[in-house]
Amino acid sequence: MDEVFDLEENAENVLVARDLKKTFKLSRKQKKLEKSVTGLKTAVDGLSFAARRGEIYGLLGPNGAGKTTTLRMLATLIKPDEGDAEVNGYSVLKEPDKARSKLGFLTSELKPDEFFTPNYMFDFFSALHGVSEADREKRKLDLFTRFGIGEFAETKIADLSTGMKQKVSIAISLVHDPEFIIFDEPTNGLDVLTAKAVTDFLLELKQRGKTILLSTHIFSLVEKICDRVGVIIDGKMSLEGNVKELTKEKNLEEVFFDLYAARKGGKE
Amino acid sequence: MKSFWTIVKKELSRFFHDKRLLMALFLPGILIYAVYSLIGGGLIDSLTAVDEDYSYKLYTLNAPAGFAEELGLDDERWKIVEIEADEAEKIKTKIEEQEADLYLEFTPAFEFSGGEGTGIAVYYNTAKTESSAAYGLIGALISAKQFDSPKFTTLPFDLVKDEDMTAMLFSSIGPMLVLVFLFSGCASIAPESIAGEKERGTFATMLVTPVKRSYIALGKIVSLSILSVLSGFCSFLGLTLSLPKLMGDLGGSGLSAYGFGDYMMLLGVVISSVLLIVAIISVVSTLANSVKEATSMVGPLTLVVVVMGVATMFGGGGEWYWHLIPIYNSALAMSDVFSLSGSALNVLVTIGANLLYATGLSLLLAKMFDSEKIVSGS
Ligand SMILES: Nc1ncnc2c1ncn2[C@@H]1O[C@H](COP(=O)(O)OP(=O)(O)OP(=O)(O)O)[C@@H](O)[C@H]1O
Ligand SMILES: [Mg+2]
Repeated sequence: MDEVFDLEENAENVLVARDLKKTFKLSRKQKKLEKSVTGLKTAVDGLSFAARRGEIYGLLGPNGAGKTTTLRMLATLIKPDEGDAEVNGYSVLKEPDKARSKLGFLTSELKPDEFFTPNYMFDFFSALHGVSEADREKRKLDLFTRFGIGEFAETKIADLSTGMKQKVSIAISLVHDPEFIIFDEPTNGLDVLTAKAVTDFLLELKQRGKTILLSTHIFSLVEKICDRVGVIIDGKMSLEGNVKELTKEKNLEEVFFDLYAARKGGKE
Repeated sequence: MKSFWTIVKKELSRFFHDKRLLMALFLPGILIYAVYSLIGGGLIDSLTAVDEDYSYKLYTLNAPAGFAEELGLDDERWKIVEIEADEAEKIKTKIEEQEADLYLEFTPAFEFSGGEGTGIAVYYNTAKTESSAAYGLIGALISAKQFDSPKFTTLPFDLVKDEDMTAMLFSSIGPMLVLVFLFSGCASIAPESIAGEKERGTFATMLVTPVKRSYIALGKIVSLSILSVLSGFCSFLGLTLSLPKLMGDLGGSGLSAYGFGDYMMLLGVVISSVLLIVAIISVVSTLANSVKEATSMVGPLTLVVVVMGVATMFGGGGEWYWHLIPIYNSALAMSDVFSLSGSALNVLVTIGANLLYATGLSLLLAKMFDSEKIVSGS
């Protein structure tokens, strides 16, 4: 594969991932489902990429491509078997605490405790991130107003609508105003209005100089908001590039199908 | 360290605002009170068993010659000592202090065929298993004699001290009950707090903050311990309140038999046991992926605790090294304190061992929180 970027020379990389590899041991049930003989599933297979300061980078891939697994490694929830990644210069393997303080991870997998109110959860996570009280109140006002959470600030999260829950989740994941934001499937399960609120917010974060890495299987989302895209198939980077340049002649969907056919055709 | 308190505070407020969890916390205590008030003194009878080769210490005054043969007492098992009249008080005190088993005071020149005005006073102490067994045996033999010549009378005197009565009861069943209560109190909340958070996806949100995993583990353990102690205390209260009913007609002055030192030892043992139990259940709950799974894994452990508790009623325990066995040591130490024979060394060994094990398990828990397989549950 061509070197699309130079990892060492570009100092403005907020995220650098090098040769990430993750293999899962499958349970007996999973083994049958995956028709695996070895009982091993390589979800991510030597993935390298980088995200530059102030850009939105999209990881695009079909179901099971290894997107979520990649993001979880970057968020230090799981450890790569091989390779490493740096967030703001902190290795996710060697200094996971510091890496975590620089990133925000948004995913439907991670939920605030629904037993509490948005206000309580915001304060709770602010405390865990060591945010000062003044900063906390400023950010809370900002985010709660931005998402219209204010009037629900003292309502149990369990009693909120799905869209509002999602907004609360986002607000709470950003209590520490991270430089680097990882977002798994940002618009999954949201109606068009909420989805638009979320994508607008991502663009706004970008305006403020934040770096965003998102994963999705929705081509239009990538075309709409991403600066660069990495297409993952079977845990490997199949194509990487500037979204505008890639879609000069064909739209992203067609680019992807050609690529997919070539890969799968070549394999069998 | 600040984040550690944040976690503790959140855990506590979680529980104090949830009616269902509060119920789970306090229900055992209420149940204990209800159940023990109902079954009453039935428990006491089942606790009397005397060693096969024990020989009873029997003192007599004015015993007619050959009375042992007359009653059919086996020499092997009965050590009979005839005393002088002026020793009577000393012997009674001995029985009270549980140093002698039985004292028979015959009227002067007593004969089994004697008539009106002759009789036997029988002194014993129900707090001493052997003494009440001896009383049962002699009592039956004398009744048989009375059947032949019904003229003489018998007068039984129970020399039990109030505080011994309480001590006996507590020392035999108390430790097991307290342990089971502490355990069930903790088992009702820990699965929710750890496996529940995993199940609902709220656990990982904490793992992506810069807080050290060991602080998260510690925060969970400390808050669970606070709640478990509360729950255990409620159970203890339930037990104490139902005690008068449990003891039935036998009387006793309840908890006033114990002094400040006893309470302190008890407190130390209870707290250290709670920490250990919380650590054990937390580790188990972390292995599970759902509350249901955790609860079903904890179930068999409750049985182990019951068995350990019961074992102290029969097994050994005088030497300090017995106090190194977890759970068993807590039951032993409590039993010692309850029976007013607590040895400071044994209690200290128990507390030390419990704290050591709890610390070890907490470290293990922190390690487990670092393991992706356990935390993400795949
Ligand atoms: N914990 C796990 N144990 C076993 N296999 C796993 C585990 N996590 C992921 N996998 C497998 O690894 C592969 C990649 O999964 P991953 O969730 O990263 O894909 P994805 O690109 O996010 O897909 P989707 O679009 O469906 O979310 C899949 O085949 C999945 O079954
Ligand atoms: Mg996914």
